[in-house]
Amino acid sequence: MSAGSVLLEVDGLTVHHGQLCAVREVSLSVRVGETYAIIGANGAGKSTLLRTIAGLHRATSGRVVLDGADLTHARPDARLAAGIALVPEGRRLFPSLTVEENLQVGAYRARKGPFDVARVYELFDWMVSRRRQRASQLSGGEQQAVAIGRALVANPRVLLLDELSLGLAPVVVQRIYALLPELTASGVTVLLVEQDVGQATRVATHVQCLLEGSTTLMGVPGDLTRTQIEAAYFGVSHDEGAER
Amino acid sequence: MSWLNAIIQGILTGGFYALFACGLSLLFGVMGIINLAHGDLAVIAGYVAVLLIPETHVPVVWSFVVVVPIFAVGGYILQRTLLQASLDRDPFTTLLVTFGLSVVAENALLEAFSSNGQSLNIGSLIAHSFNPTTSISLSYFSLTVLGVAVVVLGALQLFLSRSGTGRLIRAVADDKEAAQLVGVNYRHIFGIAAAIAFATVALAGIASGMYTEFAPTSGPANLLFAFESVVIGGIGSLWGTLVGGIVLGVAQQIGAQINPAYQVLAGHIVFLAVLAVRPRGLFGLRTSS
Repeated sequence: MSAGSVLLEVDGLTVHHGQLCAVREVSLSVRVGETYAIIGANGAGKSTLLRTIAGLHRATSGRVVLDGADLTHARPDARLAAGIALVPEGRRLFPSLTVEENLQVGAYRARKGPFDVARVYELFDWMVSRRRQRASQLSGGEQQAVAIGRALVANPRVLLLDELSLGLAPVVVQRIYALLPELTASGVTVLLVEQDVGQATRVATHVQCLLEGSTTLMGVPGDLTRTQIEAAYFGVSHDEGAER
Repeated sequence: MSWLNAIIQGILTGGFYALFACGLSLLFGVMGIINLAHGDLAVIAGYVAVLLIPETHVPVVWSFVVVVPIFAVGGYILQRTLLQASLDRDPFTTLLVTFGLSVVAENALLEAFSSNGQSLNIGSLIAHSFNPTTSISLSYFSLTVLGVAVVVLGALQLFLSRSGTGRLIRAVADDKEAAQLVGVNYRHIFGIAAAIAFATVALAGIASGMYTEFAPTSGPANLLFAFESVVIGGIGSLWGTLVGGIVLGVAQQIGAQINPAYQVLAGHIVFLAVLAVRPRGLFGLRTSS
């Protein structure tokens, strides 16, 4: 598949949590090699969108298509095998397993590709000396790194990253985001969700803003003004704000 | 000397209890299922042996070779169908379903086999014992059961900690949603865990059927002792289960030594004491964080 062709396509996706409509008619297409960022405030439906793409929530309507294959009704494990890996919010490592075991479980249904446990140890060299430690004994930033490694060893075509920065010190967040270009260079396409707009616009090639479940803005970070983003993020246009 | 004998007999009984308990512990540890039909499964295993052994011409001593695989397959199927369907609803439904299974099993057995006791007759093998002194008697059969319990628990521990499938079982027990995200079909892993649990309880049921009588209504007593062993030892710890079984067995034998009427009571008192002093059990190290 050549760079620039559409890899992941989400088409008119609507997701409900019981009565609540969390994601409303959201569409996006992520092209090979892109770093696509979904931004939005708390409760905008960003995480629900990613979790639905990964198969953890059932879509009310709409489609999820990976490289032409319709995965809308596939189970999460089948989606992983197809090439969609999610690094969930809050890391969600297996706490009683060691660092190495977490990575080994991640490789359980790995596709062919550049990443394996040894390659992850190259990316994060501190892990080698701590590979026999339980995941629950690591700091938040270290756990985030293991969670990324656990997703990478499956050799996903699209890596979904849910709120990497949540609960981490800014310097740790910087270090983790600094890794993204290297992943992209290895052929991984990234779709990430981020509350921190500054962080997202720095790394992303494409930004889409959600507000109360609907898309309010999409575009290339360089083309969007701060005012536009703020308006889409908070749902108030600047004129309205001035009148009040 | 009879006190020493009581302790030794208690340790031997503990082997039975541990064998009964490890499947219960596994089902709870991996899937969060409290299997109220666990004791009845052991009884069913006994009846399956009674039914099948005359057909297969396998010596009764080796009946577990036939029954254990049947139970493993049955465990997998039951988990993938009824138990999974109840787990998909909520834990309370699961509890009710296993309770229902217990009632159904008991009554079906009563209907089919009457309430008369049965046993698996292995002839004189049961009677052989080793007598280091006149007041101490070590039954070879009970020693074998204790040995089997140690081997089964050890093999299970090794399987869980070293094998790839064991690693997946632990991962699913930790967080089944995260396991799905790394491509694990947790329902299949649950099925494997249930297969192991059913296989061990079949082994326990057959051992118990050889040693003593069983009847359709023996299930709840089996369940109670298995449950007490798990709680005394600590949920989630396999070796703890062995120790729990032995503690329960010794308590009962010492109680019986004081007064035969106190046998079961003494076990319950120790169980309650452990629950009061160490609610996580003797080896329950795993915290819920």
